[in-house]
Amino acid sequence: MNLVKLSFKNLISKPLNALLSLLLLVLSIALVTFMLQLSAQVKGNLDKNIKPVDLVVGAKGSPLQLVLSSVLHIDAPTGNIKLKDAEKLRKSRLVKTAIPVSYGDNYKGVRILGTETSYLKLYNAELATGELFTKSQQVVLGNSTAKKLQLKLGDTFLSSHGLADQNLEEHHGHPFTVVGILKSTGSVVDNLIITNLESIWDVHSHADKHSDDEHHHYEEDLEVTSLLIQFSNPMAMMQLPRYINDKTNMQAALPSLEINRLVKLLGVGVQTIQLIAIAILLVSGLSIFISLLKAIRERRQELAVLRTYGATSAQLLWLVLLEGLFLGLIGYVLGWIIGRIGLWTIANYAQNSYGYTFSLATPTTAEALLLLATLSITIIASVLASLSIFKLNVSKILSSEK
Amino acid sequence: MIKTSKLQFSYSSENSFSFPDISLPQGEHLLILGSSGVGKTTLLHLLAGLLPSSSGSITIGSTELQKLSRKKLDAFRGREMGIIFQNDYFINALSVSENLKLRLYFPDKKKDTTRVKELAERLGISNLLHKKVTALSEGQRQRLSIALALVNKPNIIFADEPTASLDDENCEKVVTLLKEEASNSNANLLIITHDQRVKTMFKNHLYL
Repeated sequence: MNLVKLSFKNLISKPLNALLSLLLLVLSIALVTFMLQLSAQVKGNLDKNIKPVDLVVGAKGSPLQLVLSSVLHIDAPTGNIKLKDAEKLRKSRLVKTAIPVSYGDNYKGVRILGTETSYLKLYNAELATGELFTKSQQVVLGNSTAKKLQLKLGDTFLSSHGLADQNLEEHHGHPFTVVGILKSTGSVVDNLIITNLESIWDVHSHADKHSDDEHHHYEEDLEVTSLLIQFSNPMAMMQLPRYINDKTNMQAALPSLEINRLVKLLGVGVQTIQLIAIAILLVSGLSIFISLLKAIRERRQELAVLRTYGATSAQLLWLVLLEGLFLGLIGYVLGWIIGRIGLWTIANYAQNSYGYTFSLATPTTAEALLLLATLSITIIASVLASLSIFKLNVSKILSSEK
Repeated sequence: MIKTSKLQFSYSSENSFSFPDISLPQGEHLLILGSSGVGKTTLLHLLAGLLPSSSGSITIGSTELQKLSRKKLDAFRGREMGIIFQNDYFINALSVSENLKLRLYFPDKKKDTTRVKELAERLGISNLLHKKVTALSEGQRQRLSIALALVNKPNIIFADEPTASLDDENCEKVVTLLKEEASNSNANLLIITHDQRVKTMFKNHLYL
């Protein structure tokens, strides 16, 4: 028997007394750790996905929408641009690479992206099996897509018009064939179906042209959704967007700028939640203080008896402090676990919907600091609650009636 | 060995006590008698170092209590004294054996676990060791508080009205037990009581 054991037994002998403090603590820790992880990982995922693209050029509209649709593949496109305009930009000396991307269809809610094979190099996507598309109507599948749709090499499917699953209009006569499946990259590529630009043109020309010339495209009319550009030198960042926005009927959007704007907007929400969580943490500190104060009052006689056993006041203070620390530690661990369970739930959802990968990260520095803050609050609460121990009148307590 | 001289204590200017000098050689027993309100419990708390005296001195063995720091006094009390209070006080979160082991923790005698078993055997509570203290009957509580006062092999055993709630038969049993235990370890036994039944069982009496 020692002080650690005694304080623990004291704590669990009347669990209801400490329950409220514990709940508040768990709630605040869960909120803080969850939000810390979520915002860090969302930011990490966004950064990773926009990093290969310096500039997006698309139809006029909201620049954020353009970035969300063409780079992150989570919004509707702003419209289409003429391929010939895009080709002009491609020849600029400020452009290192320019990759056209084109949308139009989905299969069971998964977007079919028409592009060139160089798109895959942006995200370092490699084939796990099969080969890259060489002809129209051949597709390679992102790793998550293959799993989700349960497609394998050689399988064929018909696409539906639009970007969402609800559209029932199928493009008959233009089946896609799976020729390759990509390795997992942890980026947006995982959740796409990728084909060449001609496939998208073919599927759509079918609707408005005669079948005999369906493979013939009039260069003049060809459109793509947007152009993903990598600059050849840093100066391009200053010149190219201004040129495109002023001198053409297209718009240029810098993904890093737009995403920073978005993250800042989200950051206000994240900060608000963090502040609420910190407030709850402080309230839980107050609650620990009150619950320990109550416990000390209830156990005055026990504490007095311990003094007659030879315990010093400092040992009694330590006893209460340990009880508080147990509470703080249990609260922190439970809160942390619940925060991670929350993150894991969100991760599963985000993985399926957005192709974002979350790691159930090991404890971070911020979380270590939070643990320190929790323990400090607990220690302050316990010490304040146990000040009366030094004024304990042993003789009086032990001679009064129970 | 207990020696006091010119011991005085006052709660307030109207409520003050002067106590007769006590000189008790090692191993002797003393019965302190008096009606309620004459300061019997106050004297016991003074002797146990739970109250600081207003004046006078208390010497136990070769130690003068007033000269000890608060911390040393706590340690001294835990090591040298066993106290049976008028009411029994246990740590309710713990079992009987845990209470006894905790009693040994503070004077740093925790290795003495055979002592717990042996004492529980003699007091007839060895079958209760794993019970929670809150589940004990009145008589069992009485025996546990005696065990708690004896388990650290004290040199002085204080008992405040140990027989107040007991019938004649149990009264005699408890006093005999205390006397036996004190004699076994050559400890001083000081019993404070207004119970006339106990009177005949001791030869040294002190009237307050």
